[in-house]
Amino acid sequence: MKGLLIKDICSMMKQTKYFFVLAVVMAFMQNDFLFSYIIVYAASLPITALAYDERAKWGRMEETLPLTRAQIIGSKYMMGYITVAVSLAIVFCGRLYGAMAYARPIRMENMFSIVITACIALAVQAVNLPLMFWIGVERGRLLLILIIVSAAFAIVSLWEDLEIHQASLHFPLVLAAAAGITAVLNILSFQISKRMYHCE
Amino acid sequence: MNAIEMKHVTKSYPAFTLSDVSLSLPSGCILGLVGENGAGKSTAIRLLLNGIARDSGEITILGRDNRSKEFVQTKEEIGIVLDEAYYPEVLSAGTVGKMMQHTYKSWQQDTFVKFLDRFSLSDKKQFKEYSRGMKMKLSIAVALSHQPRLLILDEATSGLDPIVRDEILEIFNDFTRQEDHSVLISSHITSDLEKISDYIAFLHQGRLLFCEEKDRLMEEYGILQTTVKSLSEVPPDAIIARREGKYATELLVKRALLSEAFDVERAGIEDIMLFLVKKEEV
Repeated sequence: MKGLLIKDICSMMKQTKYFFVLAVVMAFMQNDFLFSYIIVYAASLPITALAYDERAKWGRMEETLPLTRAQIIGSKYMMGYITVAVSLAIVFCGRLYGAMAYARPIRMENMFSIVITACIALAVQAVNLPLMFWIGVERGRLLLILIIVSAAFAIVSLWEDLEIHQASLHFPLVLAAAAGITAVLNILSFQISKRMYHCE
Repeated sequence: MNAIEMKHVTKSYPAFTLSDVSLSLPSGCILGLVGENGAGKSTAIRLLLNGIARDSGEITILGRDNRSKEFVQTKEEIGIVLDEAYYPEVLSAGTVGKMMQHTYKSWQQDTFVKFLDRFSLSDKKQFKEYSRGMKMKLSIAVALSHQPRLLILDEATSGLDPIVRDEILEIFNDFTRQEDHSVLISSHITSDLEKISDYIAFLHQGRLLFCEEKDRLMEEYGILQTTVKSLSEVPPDAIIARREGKYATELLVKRALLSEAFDVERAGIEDIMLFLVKKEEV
């Protein structure tokens, strides 16, 4: 799996480098929307890696390597976790900088929204990757847009609702539930992807 | 032991069927898989590696069923060169080496570097800047750098100039100097296969027409030029296929069934292939 991660990182080095530089700049701009954007974009990087693979017809090469289906599929999931973790770290640093430079207090709900965004991004990845393995990146991207738009609507409605009751919200419980749902979704997604991958 | 064994393997697609293919490659030998474009050579190779699932039949590689969980370990011992080198175009030979180092347990970086030197491949240059010959050489360097016992080569020499082809065939020949090293090479360039193969398997329209020792094929078959007038003198049993020309008739014959009075010429793999294909079409 490490070999595949090296391949993906090297293939996307140029793009990833620019993204992370931009992410650092955006993180220091202290805007909640930009924070979310960084995380959601990071979660879409495995799809870009898959697009590169498709373009090079890498799948033909991959099936000759001593790798299990789980390792091949797992490398894309792992890439998503790594990029989301790095983007989270950048966003937290940005928050910390805001707290120190502008004396903006780090409030619980700010941290909460960042982590929830990461959970949503990983949940979208969990829905998205099996689709990509099944129908390919081009068609999968269209479905992804649909999923993201629907999810955004749902989140906005939910968020408005949450803000009304924010005082009564039990943050640790909601976070634990979100993390749990994301984990379950990812486990299920991984199993489905294994079945979808190259079912010729 | 056989390095490769396929028994009654069938794979159907809506527009193509590879049907009932049985062949074996004894350990230490080179098997040339020949056939026209679209005959099923690449499908057979993908089936061997379990890249696609067979509908029926059995496949054993280096003594292991290719559907077993342990087959992934067997792949460590197989060096593969496909018709194209499907690496992402921004990678360089250096990054391919790094990647393979973390993919094959038995990867030998120094062997890989030696091959890069031998093939004059820069480890910094991006893959998209490589010529076809360089791409194939990189694939061959990868295939030979993890101590394989079996090489599977799918059209590895097609599209290469004769000098590069000769150099590459020499490497494959060197590889089989070790007793337990075997090679399956698919190609439609019959001259390459004639040069290095011990066995020849001929696929035509998804069916295996023969899988025989090359020397036996050469001994068994011959070409006889005859006129319509003297055709009746040739024993019918000896005639495998015929090709009508303007001035003469060419026959693919079984040498053993003809007396020495007939002037039988040597039949090359390509001749045998063409005659058999024509016969099939008739």
